[in-house]
This record gives sequence, structure tokens and C-alpha cells, in this order.
Amino acid sequence: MSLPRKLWSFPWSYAESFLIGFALCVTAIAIQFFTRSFAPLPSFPVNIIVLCLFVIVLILLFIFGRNNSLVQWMMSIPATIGAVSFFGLISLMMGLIPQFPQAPPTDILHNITESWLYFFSLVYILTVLGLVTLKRLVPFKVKNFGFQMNHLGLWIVLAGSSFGAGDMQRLTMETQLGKTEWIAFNRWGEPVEPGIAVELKAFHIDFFEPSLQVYDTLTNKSVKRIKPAYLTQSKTSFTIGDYQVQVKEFYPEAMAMGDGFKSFIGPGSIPAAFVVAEKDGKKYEGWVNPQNRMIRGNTVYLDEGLALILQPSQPKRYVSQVKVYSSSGTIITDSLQVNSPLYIDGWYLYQVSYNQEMGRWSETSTIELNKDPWLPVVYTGIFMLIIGSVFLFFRGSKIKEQTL
Amino acid sequence: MSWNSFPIFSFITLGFWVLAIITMFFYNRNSKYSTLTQALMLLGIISLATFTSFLWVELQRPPMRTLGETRLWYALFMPVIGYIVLIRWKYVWFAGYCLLLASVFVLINLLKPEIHDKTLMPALQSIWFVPHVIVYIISYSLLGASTLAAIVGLYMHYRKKDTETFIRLADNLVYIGFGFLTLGLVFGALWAKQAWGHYWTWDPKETWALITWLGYLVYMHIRHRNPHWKSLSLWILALTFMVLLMCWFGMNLLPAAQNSVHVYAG
Repeated sequence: MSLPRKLWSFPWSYAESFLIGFALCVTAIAIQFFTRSFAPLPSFPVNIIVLCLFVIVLILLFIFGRNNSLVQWMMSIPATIGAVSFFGLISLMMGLIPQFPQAPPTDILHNITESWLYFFSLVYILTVLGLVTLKRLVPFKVKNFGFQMNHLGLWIVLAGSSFGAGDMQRLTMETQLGKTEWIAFNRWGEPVEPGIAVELKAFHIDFFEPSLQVYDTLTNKSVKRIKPAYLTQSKTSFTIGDYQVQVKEFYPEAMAMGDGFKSFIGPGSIPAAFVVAEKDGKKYEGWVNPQNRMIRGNTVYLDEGLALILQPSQPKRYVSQVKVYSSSGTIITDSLQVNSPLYIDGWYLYQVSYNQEMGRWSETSTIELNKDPWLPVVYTGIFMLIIGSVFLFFRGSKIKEQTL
Repeated sequence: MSWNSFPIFSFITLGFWVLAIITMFFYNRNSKYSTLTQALMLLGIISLATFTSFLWVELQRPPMRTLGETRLWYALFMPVIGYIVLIRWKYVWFAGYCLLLASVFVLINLLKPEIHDKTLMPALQSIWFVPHVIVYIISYSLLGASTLAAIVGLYMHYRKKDTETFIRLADNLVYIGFGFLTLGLVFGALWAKQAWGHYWTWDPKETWALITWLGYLVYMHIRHRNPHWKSLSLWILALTFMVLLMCWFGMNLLPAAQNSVHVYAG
């Protein structure tokens, strides 16, 4: 897969590519500083028109500018390295500096994805990658199939995600048990009517079992070496570290009563256990329970600054039973949980959160409504990249056949 | 079976691998030695694989959540790659390095075991979890191996010796490793869409994974265009692995990553 020989003799090379990246960088900062504005984020139909114009310009450059040394440079590897480095540098800044979507235009470094810097780096990379792809696409050769999957695939992912960003809607909806909600909020907290109404019919959480852990009171951390015991019932015993621990009483849901705990199933309850730990004939006993707003936490102190604690139950899964109505008349009754979104009329619905204070008694469920009309475009590119990576495996093996 | 039995299995594994490294010094002398080396490598791999599969069953979730668990997979895949390279190209030194590196990872886990936590938060309960992590660990193992080749290549370069063999080996490993890296990134994006509503949110781990990916992209393009810039290419390879390590382990230290969904215990 070597490039045509003539590319080697171009006047522009790495130095020019980096300098152009640097010039773009300075220009971007100047524009943002003087106009005090973010880069444009066009939505339908402007984004489609601009994208079509961009593709037409690339094709025209390719057809009529092939012999122009500037266009030839744009199709070269030095330009690729320049563009990739520019994009990489911007990513590096995002990796090192915390990003805040609320940061104003003058605070470029804290809001890079909306900045002109990011915009210019995308234009640079899309131009070079687009022209490189065209160069290998026309005339089409079967041996370039893997190359196209990787390059055209990446171009489609980048173009689809950036030009489509303006059409994407991510809204948050707070649903109440037994009620139907049709107002959602965008990221600026403004109310929006998405044309989707959600009725929360039931909300349910499954928990992992609470665990007895050994805690170091000096470092204020669980002792990671020691395996915790997961409690499911009373009258069980465990070996935890050097201690023999008997669980005399255990309530998955309990309320403080007098000196101890009694089973209570309702809001505000917590898991609690009465345990006896034994080591070298010495006994340590008492109630262990995590704390909440109403109930104080209890631990059983052991030797050497160690203590037994009851770690609160972690949610295993949470499910909202919902009835979803769309303005087109479609009605879906289904359950919604993390990692399994619902789809209705162009919208994806995601289970996001619930009232954590109330736990399993939560009567609210937070749902994200998400519309991304460009998703099929991005997925096409992603699918091409998957095929392309398989070609890379073969390319690796081709090198070894030739040389070893 | 849990981390409690890890010392037994790790001592068995380390025992086999240390013996394998010793026999490697006689590898080319006699075919009996080469068979012995390969057998010892395999026995160590089998021992660690047995532990890993039992741990998976015992934890009731894939052992891929904590850093210690990912180190375990790395220690498993690195010798597998060394073994394949040994069989295919007979690079004894390379297999030796892989064993040494894997042993270091086993030792780290011996000295710094993880919390025995079986909880798996809802966002991780997905069909994408296992392919995403496995593909990444295979990729990291291959790219780690390519870094070894790069370091030896750089050493040879500064000793004014021929670097061709090492850079060729690095190329092979990078292409395959980059293929897996792309798959890992893309699987992560598809999973993110399902779990968080968007395929790319510039979460710090995603950002660092992208920087790593771009680093290898630069390496491959420079190798393609300027195959004679060997030391520069090897330096890029070694430095990009630093970025990869940053992405893998350094995340917890970054101020930019305090809210990352990828920061986990261990």
C-alpha cells in the first residue's frame, strides 16, 4: 500500500503542516477573543446545506486541483500528521484541563468543544482526510477496500457527529409515580415540550446484599485485603480476616428501636445486624448498621484500630415501568432500565436516576430523552471502522510475510 | 476460589515462568530445551487462566472492574502474545520480556490485592462489558509488546547496530494492536450510547483513549511515509505508550478526571 512516487517530491512537508496548524490555532483564539462567541453549531437545515457544500468543495478541489501543489499537499501524509497532531493537542488540553460546558467564550480552555479552536481543528482534519479518501476512492480499486473502510469510515464518523451535533437534543424529565409528565428540561434548565409524554406506573430497585467489612479507623478506609461477607440471613457465621464472626440477628430493612433494631419495611429503613466477633478468646459484639438521615451509624470496634462495619446495599438494577405516549399517537408500555433504553418516534428514553434519599421508596424517576437524527450516519462510519480494523490485522500479517 | 487463593496460583505461575526464562538461555541449543521452554510457558498460562476463570465464577461478575483485575488479564495475555511470537518468529528474547513483564504484574497483584467486591453498578451490566475490556487488554498487551521492541530497537540504534528486525516486529504488533484499539474504542462508543445516551461525551478516559489512538495513528503514518526515520518512529512508539499508561492507570491522579465515570477503586 505505498503511495505514488510523485508525492515524495512535494515542496510542502512537515514543517508547513505544523505551521499551518499553528496559524489556525492563533486565528481561532483571535476570533473567539475578539467576537466573544463560540464556534457555530448549525442545525437543520443549515448543517445539511453546509455539509453538502463542503463535500462539493472537496470534490471540486480534487477534480480541478489535482495538479495544484497546495491541493497535493492537502492530500499528503505531512498534512495528515499536521492535522492529527493539532487535533491530538486539543484533545490533550481537554484531557488535562477540567471542562465545563457552562464556561463563557472568553474562557476557551475550559470549554474547548464549543471553541473555534476545536472547530478549526475539525475543519483541518476533515479537509485533509476527505481529500486523502477521495484520492484513493477514484479510481476505485479492490485492494483499497480496507483503506476506505478506515479512512472514509473515520471521515463519516467525524463529519456525522460534528455536523449532526446541532440537531441533537438531550433532555431530562422528572417523572412522578402515577403521573404523566410531558415537560422536559434542556441543559440550560429551560422547559421544552418534546412531544413525548411519560407516565410512571411503578419504580423498583434490586439491591446487592449489604456486606460486613473490616474498616481501618486510622486510615478511614475499608481494609482491602480482607474479604467482606455478604449478609442474606440471621444465624450465620463467617471468617472475616482473623475474626470468627457470628451474625445473631440480621434485618435487610430495619428501624432503630430502643437499644437495638427491629424489622421495618418502609421509607427510612436501613440494613442492620447484631454481630459477635471472636479472636483469641476475646469477644467483640454489638449492632452494625450504616447511617442515614434519621439513624446513627453503628460499628463494632475490634483490636488494632480495626472495626466491623455494615456497608449499605448498592443498587443492582433500577427499573421504571412506564407508559410512553408520542404526539403521533404511538403508545408503548414497557420497562426502562440502565443499559436498556426505549425507542419511540425518533426518541431514545434512558433511565438516569431516582430519588437517592428515598432509595427503593423513591417516587420519582429521572429519565433522559435523547434525539439524534444523525445517529444512523455515525453508526455507518463506526460499522466501516469495525470492518477496517479487521483489515489492519491482515495488514500486520502481510508485513511479516514480506519481511521475516 | 477468590483472591485468597491467588498466592498459591501466582507462585505456581511464577515458578513455571522463572523456569521458562532459565531454559530460554539454552533455547537454540537443543530442540529438547525449546520444547521445555514452551511447555513451561504454557503451564504458567494455564495456571493463571484457571485462577482467572474460578475468580470469575466466584465473584458472580466478570473480573474486569478494578485495576487489579485488569492487571490480571494483562498478565494472562502478555505471555500468550510472547508464546505466539516465539512459535511464529522464534524471538526468544521477546518471549522472555513478555514473561518478565507479566510476572511483574502478578507480583503487583500479590503485594497489593484488591477489595473482594462483587457489586457491579448497573451501568456496567451490559453485553458490551466483556468484549470492550477484553479487546482493550489484548490491544494493550500487543502495544506493550511493541514498546518492548521499540526500546530494544532504540538501544540497538544508539549502539549503532541494525534496528530493522525490531522495527519490523514493532510494526506487526502495532498494526494488530491498533486494530484491537480501534475495536475497543468503537465498542466503548456503542456501549456509551446504550448506557449514557451518547456515544462520545469527552469523558477524560475517552479523551485519553483518543489521544493514545491518535499517537499510534501518527506512528503508522510516519512509518508509511518515512520508513528510514527509524529512531524518531521508535521514540514516538515509546512515548505513545506513556500516554496509554496515563489512560490506563494515571487517570485517578488527574484534576480533569475527578468526575470521570471510568475512575474506579484499586
